[in-house]
Amino acid sequence: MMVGDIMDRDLTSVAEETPLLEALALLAAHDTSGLPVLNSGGRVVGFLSEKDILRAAIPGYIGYMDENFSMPDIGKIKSRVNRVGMDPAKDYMNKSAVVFDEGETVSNALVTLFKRNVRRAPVVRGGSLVGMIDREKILRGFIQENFGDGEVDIPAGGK
Amino acid sequence: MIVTITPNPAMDEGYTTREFRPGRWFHASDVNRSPGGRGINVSIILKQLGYDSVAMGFLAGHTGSYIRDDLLARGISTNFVNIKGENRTNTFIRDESSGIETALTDVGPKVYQDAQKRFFWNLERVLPRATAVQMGGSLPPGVPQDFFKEAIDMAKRKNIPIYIDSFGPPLDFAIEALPTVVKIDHRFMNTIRNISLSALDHLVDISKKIFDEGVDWIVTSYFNRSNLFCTTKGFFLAEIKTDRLFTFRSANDALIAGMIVAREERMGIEDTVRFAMSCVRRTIECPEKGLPSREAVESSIGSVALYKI
Repeated sequence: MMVGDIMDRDLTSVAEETPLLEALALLAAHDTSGLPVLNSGGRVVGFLSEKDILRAAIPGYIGYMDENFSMPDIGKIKSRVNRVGMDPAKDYMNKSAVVFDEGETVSNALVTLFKRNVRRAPVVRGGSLVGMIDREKILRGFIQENFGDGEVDIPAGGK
Repeated sequence: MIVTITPNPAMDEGYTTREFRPGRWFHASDVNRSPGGRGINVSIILKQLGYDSVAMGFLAGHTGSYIRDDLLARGISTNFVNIKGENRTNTFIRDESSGIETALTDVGPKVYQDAQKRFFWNLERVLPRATAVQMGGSLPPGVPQDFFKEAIDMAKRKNIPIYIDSFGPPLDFAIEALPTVVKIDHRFMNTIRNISLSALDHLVDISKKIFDEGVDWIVTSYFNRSNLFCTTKGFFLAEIKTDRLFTFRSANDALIAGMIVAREERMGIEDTVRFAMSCVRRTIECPEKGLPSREAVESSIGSVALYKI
């Protein structure tokens, strides 16, 4: 099974020049945590997530969170997001984001997503966006392949 | 890749019942739901004919989520702008006894300027990969009447063939931009440029005028089962015969999808007309949205009657 067989064929994306506030509004409108970033030729050049936007607003704090440091209050976050809100997506996107070719095998993609600790990633054909793949979609693909489209009949087993 | 544009998508709900008439309660013997709107219907039929497309436009609310999810499940790419509000629900009630269908359509959500700007940004990004652009239907509130014209201008700058199927002022503006194919839908308009669309002679007159302005193909419906095609090789009147009519709901969309496929496969003018009309026939016979298969379309090409006029 190839990534192109099971990917989500939605092409929602942002431009390199899209201001962060606009990108944030787009994430909310599309109910997603991140979107691919395209250059003017329509090629995927990065990935922008909520976390990247938060990192832009409160640089340094994301790292502290792993060590149980507290976050600044929500008012401060809001004002800092507004401060960087007009900066372009390209300044804060992940330029080395995981990107799959549509011909990549699903099992390789799943391993990469787990290894890189990434939930979803863009899928390209010749560098142009053709869809998105995420871990849930892959697992659903496995279920569908093994159990068909009907209700999943989980085999009884174990002790 | 083929791009379809539906500014005002809808969920189509079709109910079949016996001896329907207003003022009473009825139990539906069959209910059918599907994503709708001209471009979306064309995307669905293109998929049934074996062609990929990306559907674009504006989605809102639960209906919008349903439309997007259903299209993705059919393997159709989507690149919609999500907006506030709720997409339309179009209701069709088919009286099983008489075969008569009653339709009730909705207006659609208001589309603000920032969403329109976003739409054109998306369009600019997909056009370099497009082999054809189709657009049509109604415009939702907030969208200016020259919306199709702007989209056509963008596609024309990239020399991409453009198909439009609409009515009223949005169609008038669109014709100014000289698309490749114009389908005049006179279910929703009686005249175009002050010419009545009631008689064959009038259809020929208006088609000739638009053709002389620089549009390659003009198609107008003539009665229920015929279409007049104005082409570079003259006028053709094409007619389909079937005794299995179910609904005319997506007939125009099947015609456009058929013409797009014919162009992609470099069919000649007469073959294009026959193929497109055969798509219409299979669609009006089909209780589900669209047509059963490409094979079904090919098997009925011979039944299309074609007259050079």
